[in-house]
Amino acid sequence: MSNSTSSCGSHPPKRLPHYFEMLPNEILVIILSLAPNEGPNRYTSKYTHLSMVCKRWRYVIMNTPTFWSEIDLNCRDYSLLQTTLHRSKNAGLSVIMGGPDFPNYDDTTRQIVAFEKLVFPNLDRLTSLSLKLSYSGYREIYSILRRSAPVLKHLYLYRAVGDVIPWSPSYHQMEYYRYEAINLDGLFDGACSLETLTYDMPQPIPWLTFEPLISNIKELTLRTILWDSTPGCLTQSSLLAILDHCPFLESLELKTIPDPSVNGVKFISPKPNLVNLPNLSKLILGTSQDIALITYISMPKLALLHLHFDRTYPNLLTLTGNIFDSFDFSSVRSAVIVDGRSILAYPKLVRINNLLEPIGTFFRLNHGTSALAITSDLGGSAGVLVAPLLAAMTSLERLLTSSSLVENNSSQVQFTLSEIDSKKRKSMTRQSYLWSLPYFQEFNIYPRLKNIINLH
Amino acid sequence: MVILATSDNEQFNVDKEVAERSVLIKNMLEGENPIALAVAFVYMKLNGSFIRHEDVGESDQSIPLPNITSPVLKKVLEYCEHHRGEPLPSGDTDNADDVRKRTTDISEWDQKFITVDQEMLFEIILAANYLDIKPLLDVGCKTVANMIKGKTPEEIRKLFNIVNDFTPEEEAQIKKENEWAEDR
Repeated sequence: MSNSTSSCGSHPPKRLPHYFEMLPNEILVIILSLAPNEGPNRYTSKYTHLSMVCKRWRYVIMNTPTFWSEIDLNCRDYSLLQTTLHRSKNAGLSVIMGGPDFPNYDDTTRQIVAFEKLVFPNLDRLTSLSLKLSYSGYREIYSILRRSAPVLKHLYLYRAVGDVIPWSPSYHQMEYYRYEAINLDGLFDGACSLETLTYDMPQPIPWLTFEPLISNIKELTLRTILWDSTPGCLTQSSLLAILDHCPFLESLELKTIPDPSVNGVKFISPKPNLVNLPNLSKLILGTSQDIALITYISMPKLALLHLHFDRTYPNLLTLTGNIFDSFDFSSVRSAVIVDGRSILAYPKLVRINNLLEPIGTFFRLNHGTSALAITSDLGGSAGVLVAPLLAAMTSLERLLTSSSLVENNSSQVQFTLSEIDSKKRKSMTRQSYLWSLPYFQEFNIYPRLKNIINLH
Repeated sequence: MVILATSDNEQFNVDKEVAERSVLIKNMLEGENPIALAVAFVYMKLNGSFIRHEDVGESDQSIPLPNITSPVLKKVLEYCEHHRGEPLPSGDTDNADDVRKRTTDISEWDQKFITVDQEMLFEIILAANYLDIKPLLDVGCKTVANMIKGKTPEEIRKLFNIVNDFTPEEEAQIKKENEWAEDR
């Protein structure tokens, strides 16, 4: 038996073609960049294991700065961080700080010290920054983020795990969040041009801080935020005014904390001028109260529409056609509609009939849609729903429906993905997914729904 | 129509719109690529024919592609024909962010198209690189990357007949470094 592949400069007995020899290093770099591997240690480069294939690959990997441009300050090994930073040479840096395993005050301090020593001197090449910290952590890090980061394009600000907020906060809780709000004045000296901003914190957005940073924004995500009429913070009206100056916006995701003082959809009065977002292709609205926003925005290129109706009033079933009717769905190719209402809230038949009306309107208007998820609780009646949908919608190829199950005192929701035979207009069930109802209701369902409908 | 001449002296009559999926050919036809023109000039002279600057783009003159054989050009043209009319990628998108965001998804047609043996796959990549057809280069590179993903170094070597040229000492050292890193 040959040991030709084993090691150490020995020649294989039969010389087979080695086509990688034909490729110049520039192409090898492209290929390797597309084949990262999540190794056992998430703090080392994702290309480390590929450097063990042969000398040439090792040379290319060690000398390609972009393969070393991700710095995760959760790594406790300072020398490993230094080595990674050194190998990144002058490449744009992507820095992560805090995260799911973010533990305690000491670790926050350690990470902030590492940030000051390693990242701060390299702010001029920082392209992406993701922070997931507690409020105290944010206060400390903001105090050193007041220098210009000229090439920063992507900024992600998350609240640390553990700071769980209740779904419908009381008036006092909301006041507490307002009290906790962090002063971001002077962030990056107001001198960077963001393409991506994710702000996921239960507090009002100090919008005046971000406004000068986002004129070229392409992806804007605002989650668990509070609307606040305090001067400088974000209201629906001020958001529309800001969007009006974001002509490059391609993706907008908005999920506010429902305001307990508002009953129903939050319409702006008087009705504002229509905001034109010529490049917006993806819109996600996370609460019923915010659905009204679609009536204020013109989105001729909208392809992905995701509407999440929560457990507050109104939900999908009580929403009348006045919102859907005024919206042009003609460009939408994929839609996800989530209804987070409790499964016991409606009598079964009423549920189905009421659901068909807005969804049916949607389908008749939108002949191009090929994938749709309907995740309202349908009480096992998905089949009843599917038939009229198929008749109305000739382009539908994938349909995700749900039904509820109650087993052993635990509520679960079953999702069924159907592939539609376009010629016979017949639904062929492909796969079922079973999720627990709490998961469903907390809206963490969304990424999984998206994956299913996009990937299968 | 444009005539393309391969290294094995075959000629292909191609619609200008299809040929211009190649940025190299597009620039040659528009007279904007003096280096490519010079290469073509030398090639034609060596082969006993002659090409003048003003002839490039004329229908009765062929554009020599000295790096590409006829079976490979045939495949490349099949790709260009299928994607004719689609918008061409603009500018240089090879910065670090784009590389990181790039996925290895390949459309269904492209997947079928690129299901070829290893030699043809690498030849297509080289041809796409030479002709400057970025979407085709992407498809080829993604295909090879998908073959690499999830495999151990040993499996990668075996798949692509790559010789392990590390000395035992070097290999031991690298393994030690990586194990050390994995412990952190």
